[in-house]
Amino acid sequence: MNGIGFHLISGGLFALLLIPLIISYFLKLRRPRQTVSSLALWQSVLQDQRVNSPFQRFKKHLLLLLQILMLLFFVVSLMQPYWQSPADRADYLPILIDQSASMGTLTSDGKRRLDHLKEDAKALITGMQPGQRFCLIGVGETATKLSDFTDDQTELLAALEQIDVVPVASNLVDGLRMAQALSKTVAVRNVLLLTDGNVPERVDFDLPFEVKYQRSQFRGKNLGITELNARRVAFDRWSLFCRIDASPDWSGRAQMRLGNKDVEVASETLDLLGGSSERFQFDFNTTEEISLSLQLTSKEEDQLQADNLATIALPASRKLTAYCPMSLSSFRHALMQFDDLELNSDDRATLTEYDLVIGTDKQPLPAGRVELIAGGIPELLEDLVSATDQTVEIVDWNRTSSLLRHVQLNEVVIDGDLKFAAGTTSTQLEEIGYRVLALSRGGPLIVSDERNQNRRYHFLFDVNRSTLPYRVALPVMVTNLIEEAYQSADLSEVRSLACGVLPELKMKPTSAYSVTRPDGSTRVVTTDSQGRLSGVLANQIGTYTITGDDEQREIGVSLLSPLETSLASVEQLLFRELKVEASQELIESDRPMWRWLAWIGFVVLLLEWWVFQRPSSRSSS
Amino acid sequence: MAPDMSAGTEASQPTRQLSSLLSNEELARVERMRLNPLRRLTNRSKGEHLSGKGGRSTDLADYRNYVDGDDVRFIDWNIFARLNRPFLKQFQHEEEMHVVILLDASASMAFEGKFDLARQLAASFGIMGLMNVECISIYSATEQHKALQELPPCRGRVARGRMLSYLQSLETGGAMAIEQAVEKVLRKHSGRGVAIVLSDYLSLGDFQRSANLLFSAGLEPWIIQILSPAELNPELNDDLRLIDAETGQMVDVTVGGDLLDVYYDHLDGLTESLRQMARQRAGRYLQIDSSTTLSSLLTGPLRKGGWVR
Repeated sequence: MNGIGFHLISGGLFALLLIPLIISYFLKLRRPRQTVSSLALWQSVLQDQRVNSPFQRFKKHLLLLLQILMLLFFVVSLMQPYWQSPADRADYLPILIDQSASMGTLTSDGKRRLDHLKEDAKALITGMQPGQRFCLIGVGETATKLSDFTDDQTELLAALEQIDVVPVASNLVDGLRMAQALSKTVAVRNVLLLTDGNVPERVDFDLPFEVKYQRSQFRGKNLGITELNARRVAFDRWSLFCRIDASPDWSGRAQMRLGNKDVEVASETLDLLGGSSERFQFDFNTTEEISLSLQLTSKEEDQLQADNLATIALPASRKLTAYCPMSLSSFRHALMQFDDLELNSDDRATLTEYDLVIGTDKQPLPAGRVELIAGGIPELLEDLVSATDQTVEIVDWNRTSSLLRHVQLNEVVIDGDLKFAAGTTSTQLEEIGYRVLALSRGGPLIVSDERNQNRRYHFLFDVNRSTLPYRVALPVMVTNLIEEAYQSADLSEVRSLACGVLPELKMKPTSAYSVTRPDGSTRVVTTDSQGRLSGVLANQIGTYTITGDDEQREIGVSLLSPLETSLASVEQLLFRELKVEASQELIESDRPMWRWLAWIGFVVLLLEWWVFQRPSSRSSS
Repeated sequence: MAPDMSAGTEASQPTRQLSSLLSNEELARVERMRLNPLRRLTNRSKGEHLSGKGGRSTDLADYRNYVDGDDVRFIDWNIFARLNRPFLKQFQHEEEMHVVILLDASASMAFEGKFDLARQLAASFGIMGLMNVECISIYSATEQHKALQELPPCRGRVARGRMLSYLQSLETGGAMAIEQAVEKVLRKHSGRGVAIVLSDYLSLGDFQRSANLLFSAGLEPWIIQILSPAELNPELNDDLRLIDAETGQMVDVTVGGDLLDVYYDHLDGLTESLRQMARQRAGRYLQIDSSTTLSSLLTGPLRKGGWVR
């Protein structure tokens, strides 16, 4: 509702100054007397002044009127009047400020996009009305609350200064969830989102409030790395793949340099059209642990620098370690077909942990990253599954699981069926952590579970009492196991990680590790009792070095976000139930009027001086 | 011109001033000056101003053809005998001019030497007239409801002392407007000549009627406006309550703005209207700053302006 309101009604008490003003004015009317020869001329002069004045009656006390007017303007200014905006007044307003990588894009005036948004936010803060409270939330991949709801402009401006670009992709959901959490404590009706529009168009969130999507329109030219990964194609040979994306406005040529520290491994020149995306491959030989960086340079204007560098750490090559007892000769036979595999049996187990362990539940097994128990029902399933003497066939299996990819089990005959206990279904197994991979008509035959990041497969039937060893499915299955073991040991495929949080790492239990960030800063973290190292913030691009007593690991972190690299701007946000259109203008708030009134009062003051104090511009000749 | 016998004769003694109005040097200077009216407005009385029409003196002025009705006594019979045609002789005739001096002695003239300068000017004009055998009469206007103080018409050097004494005895006071004074003068006055009106003309009345009356009475109006420096360039540094010296009326003025500009406009308007009035009635107008000395006036605007010669 439009109208004028006052924030400080008590300021109207200053209107009492009118009393001494009027008294002093009339006291001043007791002017000094001066006798002159004749008033004839003066009377005609004064009469002429009155006649020529449009307000003859007021002319006599024009000075008093001007002084009253001036005082009233100043008093009303002190009352802090404001013009109420048509929109509902937002008393509590969370302000989400996009701080994702695209906000670091340089604009034509040399400033970053974030700097422009901060200026908008600063104008909003400095123009906040009494009674309003703002809360600043930085939104990158996660949300960061920078201030509580406060009307302290100094605190808000200080929090605003802290906001900096984080080289991560935008994720609005976290910021909206934080605003939703804040709305539980105070009445939040509106949320203001300040962004450059480079955010995911679809937001999986139910809005409990209204989102004001304030998008600043920018254009930018950019070329960046959006993917970087490596695959080992031989024991001493890697293929490295990268994807380069260009923003729609991009045109020009760029150079790509792959290097290990200062040593250039490979380089290539690329010509990309605007909006295009290309994949490149580099092949090279190495068996050592190595950290590679891919640097993109161009003489053209590349406005976003965060996506021009990507790093990846390749592990040292080694043979895969596997354990398989002599009793499972069919599996051993299949395993022996692989080179670069160190296979141990029960009589020659030299390691306490293997990359791949295949065994039965009838004997103790060493620990393995990937395990396959061929025969036997796990203890947790003994009440849910029971064995019979019937001969059955596998009627269904999960063809997308890593164990059963490309495996045909429809001709495998098994002596000894397994049946679900009464009232038991696959759901009960999943509830206790088991996933059914293959089924007979009566019950599960192959299940898997995951304990301590190690995958374990269970053949609930006796493999030696089935036709599986004679089927081609067995070597295919072993091949899948080998592949999974390679991946679990990070020996076959490595991906450059995106900024955000480092993945959970398995280290020594309850040990302190020093994490050195790309800027050289160091932080000490401790693993838990199971050796998990997690929760390490990775908001810088480069290589993170994790150093322990006798262990060191390097992890490359890069932006790798096609959305951020494209610098695209979405017109609207699609929430689950509604759309929010982008707006170029700042949210309307109550407009303060006191500055204008104070200026008018000052003009009246100048007018009073001009009319009554100005020296005459003419003198008699 | 006869020497002034009343002046001091011994060089060893300090020179005695004949009047407090004029120094002896100024007196000697004005005695050598003459009034110079624009028109020949004279009386029938014998005087030293040449009449515009012919007279009966012994000095032959011109001849003209005789027309019926002419006095045959003035026919030049010698010429008639030679030419057999009658020609009439014309003689020069000198008549006196009446100089009326009206001195505004109201209270408004008491400011900043206005009245002193007016008396000096009146004395100067009076002496010029007396030395030129004119008829001089002086009137002084003071109180509104009282009669004018008057110096009856007088002629010749002998009246000089009386005139100076009369002027010295005048004092300011009263609130008689100059227009009213003119009417009172004309009720008593007879004779053509020059009317010298010395005033500040700061009155609410209309002087135009007075100028018309002067003109129709055969008097050439000499309007001399004497204003003080404070009236010409008023300096107002604060809000004031102005009190009229004559009427006691009060006016509040607030300093600033265009007040002074309007004042100057009105002063210029008054000056211009007086100038127009004088010019349209074959008269003269002069505005004088009361701080100006008499000597500079005599040698400056009066002589250069053709008022005196």
